[in-house]
Amino acid sequence: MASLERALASASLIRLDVAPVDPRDLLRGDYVRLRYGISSVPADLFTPPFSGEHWGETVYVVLAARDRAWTAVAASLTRGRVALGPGQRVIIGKIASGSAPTVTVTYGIERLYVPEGKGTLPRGVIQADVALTADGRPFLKRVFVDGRPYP
Amino acid sequence: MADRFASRLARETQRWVRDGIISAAQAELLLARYPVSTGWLGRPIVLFALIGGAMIAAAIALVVAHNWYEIHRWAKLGGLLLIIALAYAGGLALRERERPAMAEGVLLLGGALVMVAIALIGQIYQLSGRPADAVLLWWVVFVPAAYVLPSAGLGMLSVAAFVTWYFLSVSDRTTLLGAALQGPLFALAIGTATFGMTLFAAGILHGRGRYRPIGRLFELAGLLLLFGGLLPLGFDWRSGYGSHTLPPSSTPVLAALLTAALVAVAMSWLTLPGDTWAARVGFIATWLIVVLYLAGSVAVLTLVPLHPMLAEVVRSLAFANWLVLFGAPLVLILVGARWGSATWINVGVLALGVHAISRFIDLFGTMLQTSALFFIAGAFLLARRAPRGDLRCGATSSSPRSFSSSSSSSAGWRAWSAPSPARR
Repeated sequence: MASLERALASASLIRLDVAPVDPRDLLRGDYVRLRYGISSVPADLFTPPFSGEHWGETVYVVLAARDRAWTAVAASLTRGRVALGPGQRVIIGKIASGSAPTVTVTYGIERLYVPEGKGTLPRGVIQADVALTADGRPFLKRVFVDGRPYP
Repeated sequence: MADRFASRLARETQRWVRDGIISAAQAELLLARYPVSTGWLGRPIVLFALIGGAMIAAAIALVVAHNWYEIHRWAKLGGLLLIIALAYAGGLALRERERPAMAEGVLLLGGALVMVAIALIGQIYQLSGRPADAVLLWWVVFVPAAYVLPSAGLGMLSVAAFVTWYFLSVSDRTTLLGAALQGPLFALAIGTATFGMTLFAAGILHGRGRYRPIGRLFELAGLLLLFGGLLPLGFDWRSGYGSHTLPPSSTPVLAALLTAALVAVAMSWLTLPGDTWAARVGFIATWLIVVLYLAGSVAVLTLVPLHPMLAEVVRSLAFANWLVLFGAPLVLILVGARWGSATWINVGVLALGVHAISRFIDLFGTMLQTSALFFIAGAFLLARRAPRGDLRCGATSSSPRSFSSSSSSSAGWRAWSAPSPARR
């Protein structure tokens, strides 16, 4: 708990595009399954080029702020190969599947736990605030539908 | 409750040692003389208490799962931790008041709520990590309480949690076990049998003292997983495993599991009941053969692509499996009778029965072969000269051979009339 609070306190906030789904967890309750814009990373963003079987491996994705959300601009399976430009941040994920042209990445923030019965998001533009630690660990903070917090 | 004396003695001896009235060694001798009956866990009143504790834990879990978004996270977590503390305190208080069955139920409630607290943290911080990791964390957090108290209810929960962790890991390809054991069925079967072998040996390692009830649960879970894992390996005798090989990622993980099983079996020698050297060696040798069979299977299935001639050896592994599945339960029954373990006898009989039915189904169409197999097995059992005909029910268990105090309803069979110390 203390380490989580410390990580959250020092984390910075970024906003991402989101698409919803809605199942239930036996212990943690209803949740909305989220798929981010950065869940699909074009294979050509990888340095070195993405090839072969890398299922389950850690991936470092470089994010940059665009018009209304942050998007992936580069990626690598090696931390040392990630070069951050001004204003860019790195987020850590795992390779879920994929090969050229798109690689699916999970970040451990794909579930939004919500009060019972609130597992279906209303229609609209969905975005999420994600707290990102300096080393790239993400924490899902809040989800917005058409700019309003949900739930 | 008949077990009260032994339970109270276990608590009292702790105090006597602490107060310097007796030494730790003397306390062990006393506890070995009046071991806690393992049979009491199966009594309805205890089972009802355990089920009751589990149901209350489930009720609280559902309240948490409702997700009280408007309550501050510290209030939610603090409230739950308070309930956990109250459950443990209540369990201990009930023990003091000689209500062991209800105490075990309440302690089980406390242990189960630790998992609910972990889930609550995941819910509060929106953590969607692997379920296997959460269960392992739960197990690590509450299992010390099972031994410190000690509590058979928490012991039961710890066995359930550990087995759950194994299967959650296996079902998740992102875990080491999942990546290694998913794919060919025989990889999963070998892994599960090896894991079961380790649990069984770990159960024996619990010894004959106050941890015996927990050890018995480990043994039961281990034996079921062991025979459950071995059974599918006997079906592929027609085609052999020739068309399959172990994936490269499986071999190191299976080797690690086998090493753990080997070490556990070897160490279990230290806590076997006092008996003749031959009986103890024979028992350990049986399980070493099982480990050897599993290790041989891994080796051959790994090397098959390199040496095509090994394909024939692969086929014979299935036949070796039949022998293992016949011999190991038989030894389990005989030694279980000798050392007073009803669990071993029951599981051994179950394994033999399932093996016989499986082979009948497996060999269906070649009835003469099935007949020959059954005839040889039956003749062997008859020729065993059933321990001088004196397998008998409900012996008492002051004999050092016995694993546990056995009333006729709990330990059941006990055989070969353990000679009195004077005779021996």
